[in-house]
Amino acid sequence: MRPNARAFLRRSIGNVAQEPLLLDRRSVLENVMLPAIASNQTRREAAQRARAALNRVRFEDVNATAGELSSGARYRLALARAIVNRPALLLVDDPVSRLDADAAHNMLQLLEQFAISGVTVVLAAQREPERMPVRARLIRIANGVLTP
Amino acid sequence: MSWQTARGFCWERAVRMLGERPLSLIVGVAIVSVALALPVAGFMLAQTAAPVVGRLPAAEATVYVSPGTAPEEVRALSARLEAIDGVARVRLIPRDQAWAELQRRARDGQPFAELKPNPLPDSLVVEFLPRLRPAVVTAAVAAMSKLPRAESVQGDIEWYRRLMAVMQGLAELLAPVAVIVALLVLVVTVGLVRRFAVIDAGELRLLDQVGADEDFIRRPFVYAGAALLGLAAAGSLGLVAIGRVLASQVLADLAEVFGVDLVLGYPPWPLVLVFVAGSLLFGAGAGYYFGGRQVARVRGLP
Repeated sequence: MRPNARAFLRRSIGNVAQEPLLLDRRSVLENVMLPAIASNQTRREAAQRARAALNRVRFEDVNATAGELSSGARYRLALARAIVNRPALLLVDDPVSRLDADAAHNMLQLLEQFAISGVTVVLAAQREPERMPVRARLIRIANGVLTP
Repeated sequence: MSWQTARGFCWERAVRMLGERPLSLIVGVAIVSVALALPVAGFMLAQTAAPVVGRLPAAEATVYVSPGTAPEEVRALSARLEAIDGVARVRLIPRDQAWAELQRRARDGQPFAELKPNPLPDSLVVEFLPRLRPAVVTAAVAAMSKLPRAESVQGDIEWYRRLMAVMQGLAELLAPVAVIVALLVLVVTVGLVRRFAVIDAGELRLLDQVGADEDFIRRPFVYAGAALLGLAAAGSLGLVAIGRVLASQVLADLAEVFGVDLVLGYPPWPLVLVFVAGSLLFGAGAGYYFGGRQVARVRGLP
């Protein structure tokens, strides 16, 4: 695949890794603005989109430095960054394993809202969530074998 | 406006890249400034020396005409001399003029008072083209001595041979020096860009991950490279200006001693612009290349 085609594809797919990569010396807002700027949005529009995305993941302190955040906050920041370009597909790697029950519940609720708003969410988790979203489809992998 | 935002981000990233090690950056830029000042100073020296080299004396030979040669035969001999390869012009010194000059120069004319009639022959002074190869001059002198009505030829070209040997030696010495300087400039400029146009692998991976395209990722490297060599080019011009001020008195003294014009002038403005633009472009190109290598390393490409 040509590099620019791959870049285009990556801009169309939101991706949140288990250990998200962040610009630790930059603010939360700047981190979330990055994909929007990289996809040729104006600074004003990138900032508007970033604030909206941070709002959706309920992140308030947009001026905090990314390096100072807790791991849960870092994950939410990465999630905001993944949705800033309004992707059709969101890949989320193990969003709840490090969260307490309440936080995990909130995170799943958030992902469910994304799904309701039309985003296809593919979520990978080591343990099965206690509450499955209504329209979710569960696929298990055991010893490299997919079980629908 | 969006291109402005993207470029603003890349410029900001480039500035931060360069600002991470300020002291080291200043030293690096200073070294490259010195390296870039060398060709500029060399050009200025060459420009200063060119008129002096252009005025180097050309070889000369004097052809003494056989006694009793008629004026038309002297003119025919002069034309044949002018036709010889390498001859620039031929000047006739009639025997009477030579005799008068000789008497004028002698104290009181005493040594020549009893010499009558005039014993001097007509002579033809042959001037060769400047910077002619000594072998050509020797061959021309040999050809002149075989011409009819040429009694003898005085071609004192030993000094000319030595002068040309010195000039050729200098030229042969300058060629490798120029190559070494060019290589040195290349190595230090590329080294400077390679050392400072660096982005943390994690950040590059992140840019790749969020779908930044190739140009967007490489642009900060391009800007950083251009800024580095732009600074170095400006520094080199500053050094050259300082050097010019310091050297002006020395050159003025030399000019007085040798009676020549030695004014160390700046290169012409278009050339200075080409130098600055070339430095910027080279820095940008080097930044693009090293940025690409870092991105490839992050992606695990060869």
